[in-house]
Amino acid sequence: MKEVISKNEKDFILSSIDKYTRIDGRSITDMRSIKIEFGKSFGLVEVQLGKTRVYTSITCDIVEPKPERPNEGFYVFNTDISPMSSVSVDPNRGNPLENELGRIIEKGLKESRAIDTESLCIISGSKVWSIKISIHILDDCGNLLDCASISVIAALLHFRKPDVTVIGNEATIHPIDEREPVPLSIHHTPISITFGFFPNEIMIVDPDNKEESVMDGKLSFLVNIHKEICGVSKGGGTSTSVHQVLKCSKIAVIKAAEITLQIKESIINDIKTRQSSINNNKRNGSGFRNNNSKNLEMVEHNK
Amino acid sequence: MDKLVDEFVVPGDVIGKIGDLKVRIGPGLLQSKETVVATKAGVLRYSKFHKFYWIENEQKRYVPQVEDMVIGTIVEKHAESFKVDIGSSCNALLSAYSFEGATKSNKPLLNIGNLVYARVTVANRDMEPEIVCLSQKQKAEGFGQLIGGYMLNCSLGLSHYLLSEDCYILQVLGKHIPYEIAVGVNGRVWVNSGSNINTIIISNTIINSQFIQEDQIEPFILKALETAKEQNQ
Repeated sequence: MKEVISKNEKDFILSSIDKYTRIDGRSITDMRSIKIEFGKSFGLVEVQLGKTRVYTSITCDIVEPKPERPNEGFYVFNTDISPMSSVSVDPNRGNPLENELGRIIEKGLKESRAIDTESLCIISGSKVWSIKISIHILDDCGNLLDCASISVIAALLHFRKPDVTVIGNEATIHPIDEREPVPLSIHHTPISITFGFFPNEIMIVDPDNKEESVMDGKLSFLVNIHKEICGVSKGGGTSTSVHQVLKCSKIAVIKAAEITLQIKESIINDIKTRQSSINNNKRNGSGFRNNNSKNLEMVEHNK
Repeated sequence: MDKLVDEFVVPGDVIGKIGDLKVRIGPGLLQSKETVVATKAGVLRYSKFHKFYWIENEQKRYVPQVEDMVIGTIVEKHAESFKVDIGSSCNALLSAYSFEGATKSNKPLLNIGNLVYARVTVANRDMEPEIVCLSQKQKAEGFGQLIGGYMLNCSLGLSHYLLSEDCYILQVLGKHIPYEIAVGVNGRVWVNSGSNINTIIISNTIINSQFIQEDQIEPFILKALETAKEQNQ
């Protein structure tokens, strides 16, 4: 089923944007608020961009490398759009957006060398890490790409893989509770900023789902904190003038820096709370959860 | 049956005995022999005027119910009828003759994408719903095409609240901005006012009213009006 937008809404959105106002009260260069939440273990992140919601989980595995590239590991991207996210998703048919989304983010990361596969090597020719990144779209209220890109970056920065020591041809994997796990080597973080184009050369940052169904075209920039453009994606839509693209890129650079700082800040906060809870656990001699389970057992005995 | 009104109920709760009460039961309630049982979690509501019981919660999916007033978007146009999207699982049927004064030679001029305010007349789980743009007295009385304005989507609970007699938000909004409104119980609200900015302020106030305290609503509107004024200058 296709989501229909009425002519009244369409006319209203277009006439508002013509006066540089948007239906949710934002100005044309405002993004919706970003909320980043971390899961229980490393690499589980849920990001909300307004009402759009994306959950990314990262897992790692040890596999054998390809024989032609013996010291390169793997980054595997997997996208899943839940049928609950929007009415327009048809679970019986493949969703072209599913492939597109993961591929744009993957390309932005790999081709700008933000992630390198060589650092994932444990023993050349026999053992390498394979990092699996699963992107789950939980709620689609517009601008999926930006939300997914923020969640992937946050998850990659947050993820820790078990420490490994190699002696000769023998590798030992230390469990997370035995030795501090190590972060992935991420050189920089390209973040996607999407622009929606409207008549009269007006463009808006972070279009929501109603604006997306009305706009003429969109353009996404992948920008890192060093003001480097790591990728540009434009799938169809109207033609755009040079100065419009340049203007977009300037806005994208500013926005990306803001978002990157927010991601880093939330990760630092999360790591801090984790460490303090670990210290508390050590002091108590048992974790919070153990305490709870003990109480539960006692309750059961009493019964 | 009265003692549970405005109380929170969960699925399986026995609401009361039917006996010889002459009432109608609506969404979330089920008659099982002599008793009425709740089938979803929410607050039990009662309308004295319609002698009608229903359960209200913050769900988004609309399930059609006879006598509901809904807002729909025309999605298909046929010779003597329209298909209308009212947010239910199946598109509703709107006959071209169910408008005031419509005849074979004088049909309403509606196109795909237009909005209509209508009343549900057939709501059966095995059939597609049917809607008409006529009141029970076979008059227009506000039903029909909605021209201009903007339609916003909200939860079913909020749309029911907007229709209640003592709705605070709409009264406060009316003090500051003159506007027109049509509330569909399918979670769609159509608003229109003198300017786009005012319509935006109204729609944002309605959407955000769920998350702000009642005494904060008026300052919220005033602040929005002020910033709009500044932007204009």
